[in-house]
Amino acid sequence: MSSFSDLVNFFSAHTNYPIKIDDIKAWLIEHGYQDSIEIFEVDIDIGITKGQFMQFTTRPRPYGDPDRTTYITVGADQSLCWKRLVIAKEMTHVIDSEMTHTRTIKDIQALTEELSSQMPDKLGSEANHVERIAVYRALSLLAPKDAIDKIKPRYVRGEVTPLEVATFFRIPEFYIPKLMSERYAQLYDKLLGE
Amino acid sequence: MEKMENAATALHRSLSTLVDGCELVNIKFFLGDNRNITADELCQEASKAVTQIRFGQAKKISDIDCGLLTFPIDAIA
Repeated sequence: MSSFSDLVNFFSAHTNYPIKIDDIKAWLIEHGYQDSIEIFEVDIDIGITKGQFMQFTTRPRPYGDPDRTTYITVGADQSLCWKRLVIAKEMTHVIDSEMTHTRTIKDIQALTEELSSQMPDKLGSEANHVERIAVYRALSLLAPKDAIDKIKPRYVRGEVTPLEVATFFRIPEFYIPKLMSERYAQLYDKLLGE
Repeated sequence: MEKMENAATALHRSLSTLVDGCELVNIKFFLGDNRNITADELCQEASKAVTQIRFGQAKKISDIDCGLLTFPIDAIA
């Protein structure tokens, strides 16, 4: 099976933006990661959580292979840019390794406790760690690094604003300075490899 | 601790019965801007989402980017 870097490389080859969410979904299904991915808009407190990823196996035929289904929920009361990022971030969890899965009651207790306690990364579990990098994995799909690097000179000179870059990629403006930072460039390869 | 366990248990139970014959494999969360939250609250919001799906109150999105125009990188680089 392809790795996350294959997914990134596929979208890095795109020349037109924004990257469509449905194209990411289609890639994951066509490459055998899931049998179906359904996306739902829900009425939730986005101050607490902007969305969730829920992955199931179902067995429609008694002796057949299980179907692998993902439901992604996204809070209705947020901008299109945020909804796109939330959905893309949750879709990257389709490629998570099994050791990072949150599956049992105990797993849910542990993950929600870590997420709500703001523990430093070095003390966190694998499940928590993969949560923290997933947003940047999603950003590497929606705003491929090659495209960011092409825009960076104009951005650094102040010829394009963070809002203009965010609008171009249809991602939240909040992340543009982070994507343009040296820190992101240093961490990028690690991000793909994990 | 007991209250948190109940919220996590309730969430797991609702997820495990969301689709007939399903088994939960993985659940993840995108945190909101309010970082002063409890694990209980996180579980409860997820449970709200599950309930809305179960009772047909959630809006299924088929193409969130419907109508979005695309532009070449040269338009901004």
